[in-house]
Amino acid sequence: MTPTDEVSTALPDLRAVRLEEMPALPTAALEQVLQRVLSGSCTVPALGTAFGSSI
Amino acid sequence: MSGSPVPLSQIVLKVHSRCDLACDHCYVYEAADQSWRGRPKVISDEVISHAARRIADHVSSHALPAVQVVLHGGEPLLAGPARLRRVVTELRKALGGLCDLDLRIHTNGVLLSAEYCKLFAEHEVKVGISIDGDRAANDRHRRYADGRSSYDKVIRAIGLLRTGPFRHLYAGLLCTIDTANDPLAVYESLIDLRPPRIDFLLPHATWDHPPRRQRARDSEYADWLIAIFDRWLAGGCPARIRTFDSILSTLRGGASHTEALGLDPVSLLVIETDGSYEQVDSLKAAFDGAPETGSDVFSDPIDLVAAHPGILARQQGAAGLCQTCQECPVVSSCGGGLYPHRYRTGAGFANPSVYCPDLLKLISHISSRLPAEPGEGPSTQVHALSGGHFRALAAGLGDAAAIMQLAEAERGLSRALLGAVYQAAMAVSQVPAAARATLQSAWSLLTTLDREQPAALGTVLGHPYIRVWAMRCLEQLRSADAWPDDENQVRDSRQLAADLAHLGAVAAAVAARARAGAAVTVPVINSAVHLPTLGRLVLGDDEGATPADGELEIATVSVISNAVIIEAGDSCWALALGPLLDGEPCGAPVPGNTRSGEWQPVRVLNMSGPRVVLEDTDPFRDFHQWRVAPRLSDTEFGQWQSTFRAAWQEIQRQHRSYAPALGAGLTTLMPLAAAQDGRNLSAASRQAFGAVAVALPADAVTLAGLLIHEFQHVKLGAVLDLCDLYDPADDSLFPAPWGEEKLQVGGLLQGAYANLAVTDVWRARQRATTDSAAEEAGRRFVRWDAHTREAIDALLGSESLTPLGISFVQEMRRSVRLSGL
Repeated sequence: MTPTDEVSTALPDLRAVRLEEMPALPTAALEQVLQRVLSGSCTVPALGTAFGSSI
Repeated sequence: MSGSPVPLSQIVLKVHSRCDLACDHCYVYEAADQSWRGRPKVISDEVISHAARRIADHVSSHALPAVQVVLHGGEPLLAGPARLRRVVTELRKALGGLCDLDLRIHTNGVLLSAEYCKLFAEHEVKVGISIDGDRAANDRHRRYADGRSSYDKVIRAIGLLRTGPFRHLYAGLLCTIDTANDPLAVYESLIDLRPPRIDFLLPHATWDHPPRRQRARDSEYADWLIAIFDRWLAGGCPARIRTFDSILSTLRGGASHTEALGLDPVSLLVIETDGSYEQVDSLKAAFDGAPETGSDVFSDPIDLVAAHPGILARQQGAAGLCQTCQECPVVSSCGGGLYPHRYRTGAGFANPSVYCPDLLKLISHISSRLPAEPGEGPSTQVHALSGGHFRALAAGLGDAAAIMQLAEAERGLSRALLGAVYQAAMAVSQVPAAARATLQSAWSLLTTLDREQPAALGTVLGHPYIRVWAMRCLEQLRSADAWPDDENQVRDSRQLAADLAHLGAVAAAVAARARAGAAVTVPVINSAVHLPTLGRLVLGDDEGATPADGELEIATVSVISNAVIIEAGDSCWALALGPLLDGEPCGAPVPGNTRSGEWQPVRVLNMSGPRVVLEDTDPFRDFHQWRVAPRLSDTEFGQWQSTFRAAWQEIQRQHRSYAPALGAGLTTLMPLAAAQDGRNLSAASRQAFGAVAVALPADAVTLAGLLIHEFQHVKLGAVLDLCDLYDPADDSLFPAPWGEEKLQVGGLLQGAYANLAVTDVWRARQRATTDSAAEEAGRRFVRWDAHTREAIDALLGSESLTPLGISFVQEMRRSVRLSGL
């Protein structure tokens, strides 16, 4: 990675898609987003510990 | 020639000028420039010292945040371990503390050994290797002078980097194209080596010496790369390929990642073994002496050579190109191609590239694979994260700009989830017809507000619990097919209908924030009407107004010119918009109401500094493993306010490096119920960006520590939403250095990342206190520092991290090292 590189991310950017267009999107387009939030890559539902021992 | 010189942030340092292979496509020895014959074979101590000082001076005078130095040759490993150690030690010494130094070496690999790898691991030098594909492809050119194959030795070298303790050093592969090789065989053989990145290089050529074409077609190099691009895309882009990434990036208006493409100013400088500065190395292909600048490290600062006309010429963007290129429709992606490829005797470099037909065809093909309009076809557009922000976050920190980039992506994600919920709900037959009609009505309002009031929608999408709600809906919708055909289905169906109806509440909150006229049906959840980000109207009992047991109770929210009207059954309340939006008490019952109602606003914790709200109303906030606190009294809220304000002062005073990220990204504190045994409780979730859940601790100093700790999880969760840092399918378990449990790689990474900050917190407390308190803080610092280092080493020694994950954890390790100085 050079100082000016951008990191290639895996999260599809749908900001340019209006909400009203979303239901007509091919399933795959939203599926890409859902895969990131529903699949194993995103299954830490709620981190949290009693941190009395660390803080 | 106009324009100021661009600082040079990529330095190629030649450490040895000879090579142990005799590749017949090499630009150093086989091209027009033969200057290598007069160079010292190996870089001297004197050149090393002067080069390091010149680079450091250049970094200082331009305040460069980062610089990349690539050790190159010839074959750099011929310099030997002792000489290379001297080089990297001098560079680290000169640049340590000045900037982020990205050290790399590019080698043919045949001499790479464990001894070299240990040296590179010690000094954090990433290794790139040249290989041209499978055995047949590689041996077409990459042979010893006596004709022997180099393939087995190169594969052995890559094997050293692919596995075990040196895996994090593996930077990637460089392949020079020969169209006589089968492109897919080359591609698959390279992918099998699991590189983080592949560079495909066009063989160096000029108009005087055009590239060899097997089939005499103008675009056969494009055809060769297009075959690979299509396979790469269909396979889910399993490694970064610089050429394709650059074209995709520039087609979207972003930066190029290579000097061979795009209009970005070239910021590269070569320092030869004799200390002379040279322009880009590949100019050797043009004519004898082409790269020379006439200056060197002994006499001249780098600023002088940065102003050399040959370097300035490649910092002019389109203005530096010939007329044909300037008028070309793909110029912003092509950039005229690699500079030497434009050369023709007599005309110099004012020509299109000798690969012009190939570049035009390749870029046009890749462009045709992008959606013509946003949203058409499988999306290949992804959120951006700058390398600088990525590294700063990986070091455990990140400034406000980095956090804003994450927050923007998180809002985009929540927005997409709204669409996903609606799309899925309309497709699932188990959603009752009435619920579907309610959903459609809410969706219609939201789409109007999205068009007309995007800022208000953006504010509500920034609410941490929108995504929690959406995920809950999606999980129910995904399991609806498996619902049993009995009374449980009725119950599940009602729950789903109630949850989906919350979309109306989201729409109502947006309409209220936008002061846009609207009327929408919302659910009554836990005897309250909720307006996310604003608060809730808690309804009193009214036997006659509430529906039969199990039925969904609904209300209507209307936004008029200066008020929000909430109607539930026969009762009605008017909330003045001004106080409602300011988080102040408001709401008056309309005379004749049969039911009581109390508006409970979301309260703002602080009037100065970052705006953080205390969220004790949202119905979807209760999803952590700890019990949430019920609505706080005014007295309790006052305690939270004073403790939070003092904690923020503590963060600014004692933990200043964490303040920018917290100030930009912490939006919500969610009170947890206190633990019965008095322990501190806190939590964060990847589903709730910007929020920290915490039970009010005894003092502000502890709250500061808890906030810093939990916000590490918030930051890392958002990075993980964007980037694959590890293989989620890997279920390997690792002992947690800080406890008895064993963790999967995700848990270990979260723990290590959070503990980077915990370590800093204890160190700061050690400095801020005296006597026994300082001694105790010092002991804790030592312990957490050791735990963190151990976890980072375990992560880097695992097989679970992706190449990007390795980069991330390496930055974590670098941060720990720096903090230990």
